[in-house]
Amino acid sequence: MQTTLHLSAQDDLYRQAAEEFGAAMGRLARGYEVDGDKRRDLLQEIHLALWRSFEGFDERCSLRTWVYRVAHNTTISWVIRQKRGRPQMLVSLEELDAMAVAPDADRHAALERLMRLVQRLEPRDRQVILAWLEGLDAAAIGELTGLSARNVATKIHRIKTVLARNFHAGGRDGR
Amino acid sequence: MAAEMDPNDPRSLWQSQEEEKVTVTIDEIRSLAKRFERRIFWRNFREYAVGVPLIVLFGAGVRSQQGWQRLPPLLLIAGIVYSMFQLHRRGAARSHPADAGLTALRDFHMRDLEQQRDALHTVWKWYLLPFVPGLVAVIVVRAMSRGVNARLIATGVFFVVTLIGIWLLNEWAAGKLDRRIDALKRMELKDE
Repeated sequence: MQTTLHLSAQDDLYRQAAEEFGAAMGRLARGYEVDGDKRRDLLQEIHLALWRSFEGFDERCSLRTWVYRVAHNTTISWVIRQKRGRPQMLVSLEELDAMAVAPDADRHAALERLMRLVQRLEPRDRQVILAWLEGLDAAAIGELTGLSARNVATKIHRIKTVLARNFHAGGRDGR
Repeated sequence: MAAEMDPNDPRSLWQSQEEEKVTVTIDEIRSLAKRFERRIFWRNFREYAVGVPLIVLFGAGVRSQQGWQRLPPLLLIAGIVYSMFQLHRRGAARSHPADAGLTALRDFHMRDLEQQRDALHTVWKWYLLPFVPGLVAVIVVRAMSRGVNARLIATGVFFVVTLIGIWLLNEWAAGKLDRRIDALKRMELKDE
C-alpha cells in the first residue's frame, strides 16, 4: 500500500513536470544534440532520469530548479559519454563574440543560427545560455548552476552582447 | 544595426520552436524504465559473459591439476571475480545518480569528469593488478615444471606488453579528461 502511494506521488510529480517543462526539455536536448535519433535517446533519458529522481524529491528547492538540474545533469553525463568517442571543438562566449557574422533575415534561418551558436558553446556557457533562453532570471540561473550572482550577471551580459551581434530583433519577417 | 536590436528577442525565437514529441505518459515511462533495466542487465551480462567462461575454464584447470599446479588458475579466478565485481560496482554508480536534482550543474559536471578520470587512472589497480599474481604464477609454475624456454619467455613478454598496453590506453584517455577538467577549472578561476 505504501509503495502504491509512494509511486503515485512520484508519478504525479513527473506528470506535472512533464506538462510544465516537457517543451523546455525538448529544446534543451536540441541545444546539445544535432542528430535526431540521438536527440530522442537523450530526451528519453532525461524523462526517465526525471521520473526516477522524484523518488527523492523533498522540496528543498523549487520544482523548476529540480527539473532543470536533473535535465542538465543527465545531459552533461550523456554528453561526456558521447564525446569520448566523438571529440568536438567547443568555444567560450568570448570566443563566440569575436566570430559574430551578419544576421539572417528569416525566422527559420535565425533559429538555425541560434541553435548552431548554442551547440558550439562549452558546457558551462551552454548551461547558462539555455537557462537564460528559457526565461530564467539571474538568481534562478545561479541556483541552478551553482555560479555566483556576479558571475551569472557577467555571463548574461556577454550572452546579450553575442546575441545582439548575431541577431535581428526578430528579423524583418522574424516575429 | 546591432545597437538597435532587442537582445531579449532570441528568447521568444528559442521558445517558439516546434515541440518535439516525447514520452510523457506514465505507462511509457515505466516501459522506458524496464528497457533501461534491461539495458543495464545486458551490460552486466556482457561483463559476466567474458568472465564466466574463463572462470569455468580455469575451474577445470584447478580440478585437473595437483598441488602447486593449482595455484595459477586459482589466482586467475580470484583476479577475474575481483575485476568483475569492480566493473559492476562502477557501472552501477554511473546510472542515474540519485542526487542529480540536488547538485548544482558546475559541481555535477566536475564530479562526473573526475569520477571517470579517476576510474581510468586507477585501472591498473582494479582491473590489471588483480591478474598479475595469476599471470606470474603461470610463468613461475611452468618454469618450475618444464624449465625456461623461448615459448615461456614469449608468453611472459606477451602478458607484460598486453598489461602495459591496456594501462597506457587508459592513461591516454584519463589524460584527455584531465585536460578537460583543467580547462573547466581555469574557466572557473577566470569567472570568479
